[in-house]
Amino acid sequence: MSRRGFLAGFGALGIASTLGACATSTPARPAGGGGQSSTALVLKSRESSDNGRKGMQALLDEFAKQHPQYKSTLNTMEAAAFQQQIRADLTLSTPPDVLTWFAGEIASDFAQQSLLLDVTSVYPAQGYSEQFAKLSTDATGKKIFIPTVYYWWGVFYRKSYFDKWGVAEPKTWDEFVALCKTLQGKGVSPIALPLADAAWLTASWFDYLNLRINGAGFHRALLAGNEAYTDARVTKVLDTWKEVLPYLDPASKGLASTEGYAKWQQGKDAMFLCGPFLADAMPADVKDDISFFQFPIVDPAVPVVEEAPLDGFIASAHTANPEGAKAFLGFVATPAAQELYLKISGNALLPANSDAKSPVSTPLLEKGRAMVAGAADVTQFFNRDTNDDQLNALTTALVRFIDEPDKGADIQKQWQSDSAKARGN
Amino acid sequence: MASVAKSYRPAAKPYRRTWHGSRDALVLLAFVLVPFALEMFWTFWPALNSLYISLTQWDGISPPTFIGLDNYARMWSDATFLLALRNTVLWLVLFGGLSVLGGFGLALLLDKPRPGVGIYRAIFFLPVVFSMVVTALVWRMIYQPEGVVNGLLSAVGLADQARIWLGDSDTVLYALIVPALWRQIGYIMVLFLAGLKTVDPLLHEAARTDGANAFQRFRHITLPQLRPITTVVLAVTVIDALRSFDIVWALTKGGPYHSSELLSTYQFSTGVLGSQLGYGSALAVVIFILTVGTIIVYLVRSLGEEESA
Repeated sequence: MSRRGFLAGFGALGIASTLGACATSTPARPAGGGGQSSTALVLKSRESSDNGRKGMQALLDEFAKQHPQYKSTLNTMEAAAFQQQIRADLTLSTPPDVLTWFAGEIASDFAQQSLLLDVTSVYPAQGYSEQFAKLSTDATGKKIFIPTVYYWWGVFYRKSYFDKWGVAEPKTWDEFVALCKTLQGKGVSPIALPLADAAWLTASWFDYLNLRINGAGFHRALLAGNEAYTDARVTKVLDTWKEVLPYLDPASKGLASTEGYAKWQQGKDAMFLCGPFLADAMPADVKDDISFFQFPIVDPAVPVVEEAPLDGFIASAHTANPEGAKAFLGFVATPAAQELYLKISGNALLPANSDAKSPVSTPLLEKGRAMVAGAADVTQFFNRDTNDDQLNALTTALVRFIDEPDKGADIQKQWQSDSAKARGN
Repeated sequence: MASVAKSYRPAAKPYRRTWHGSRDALVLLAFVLVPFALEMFWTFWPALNSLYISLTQWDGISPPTFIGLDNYARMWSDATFLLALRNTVLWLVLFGGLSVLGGFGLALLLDKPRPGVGIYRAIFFLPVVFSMVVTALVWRMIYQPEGVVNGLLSAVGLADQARIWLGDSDTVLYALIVPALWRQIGYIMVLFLAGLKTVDPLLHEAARTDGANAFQRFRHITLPQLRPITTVVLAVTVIDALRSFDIVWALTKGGPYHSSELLSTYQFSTGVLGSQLGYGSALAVVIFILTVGTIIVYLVRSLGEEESA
């Protein structure tokens, strides 16, 4: 037998012996653990920072004190890997019982596929705002998500630098554009937008301009695929954004997010549309100098909407311990639990239950809380209100728009096509 | 095994040949079948799975829908796929071609023993031992807007040529090929250096006596003698070029707006990070076919040459 003949036979044998095997079988699981109950409670968490992990462990310890019948364990996984695995986790026959997750489209998807436990019975009657309650509810009216903390988006600046430059917070878009012009005149790059490893930050600009110009209704319809990115209302968003593109740091596309943070910290870039995680990344002596203003109003006739990404917990529908999972979710909904978590983790986040107080209240946190409380509606964030495939289509379109602001129509067409393809249409 | 065979040997002496023959066959079969079964389970089975998934539309949660060859049809109208394909071909030609030429050139230069040659070899080989992610970190600093490259350009009065190398859709792919080459050339150099050691110095000696000049000796002695190592180098280069992923992912993730997208990064962001498992698997199948196809064509050709030689 020649060498090649042998190899060919070998290969044929291999193919024949495996064709019988089949892929992608998702075994149908009875909801609610199939009658078997257990006292073990596994919390799978994506809070992998040291403080975040300590906060989660503190929650479990406190829960164990109140409910000694359950034996709980913490299973922490780095956020990106967690996100990739959650789909598999929720379809496992022995899934983690409770998981950290966020409000938005993906949670609704999970709920629609009957992967999430109905936690209506432990959802507090009071404490959550109407908007947060809405975000915790699936299409059939069941509560499937317990919000615990949220943050906000705003245009961050350093007070001492604004004083030095003699400028003040703008309220309207025109004031904002004028401020950019003034700052550029003083030799300061007005807007930080580091894109080298964080192109997703462009979504914050799109979301906010879209919300300020077209409102939350259009935002949701567009992100759900019921409106097209070729719509004239999207054109208007891009045209408005175009007014401030000359004020972006010209090195934006070459800056990693940490480099962008540093330039903003040093006052080389004046303003940064960001979340309070920007403040978290700053050294202690800078933290007190940080403030933000609400994203400027473009059209006063449009009700003011803010982005308030909401984090919390879900429970798997296939948990072997539905009672324990519900007890835990009921526990994390309490003001005491949310205060405990924020105290231990030390993150610049706000408790979702409005009866809870920030353990370390700072002017920055209070300003954020007041802004979200005053909003007519809240949205999550582009990728939370859709998914990461749609976010990819967005970053492709918007980063190209920064380069080629005159090709808006082409870009919108490509964007719509990318978006539809990612949806499988 | 040895002790078992020994204990049977006296009793089975008359049938020794056949007995041993069938035992050897069994052992041989086990040696083939056990790795084969493992390979089946860990490699071929998942590979065939992704072949099946590539015929479906699947988000990873709900049951997959069988859609036949739609995913493959979609590629031809997918501008990003076509761009990634073009970039991959460009990458194969530039990265593959330049690393072989550069590695071979360096090997020729550094082949002859002379003082300090070891240091030079070590310097060129050094990038190979760095993890690609470390390489990416170093090159990110080099390419920074206020980094080394732009600094040098300004210093020599070419400040108007300074640009954001990794953020400019015209330069990004080439800016990524450079660090990839920086590493690969050293690797190819070492392979060729090993190859050059196998060239019989007596042949050179004889040719020189016959009056052949340096170029003739290179063309008619060194090159033919290097043929086996060249086969290895080309196979390694094609595989390395088509699976290039780490440097691109670490520096640009295929951006800005897909201008540095390779098939591998596009596959990763659609099928692994995104939730389009069907389309992502179809992309993986295409990469597989391209790689295996190139390698098979090449191996068949070189095996054919070997047999006819």
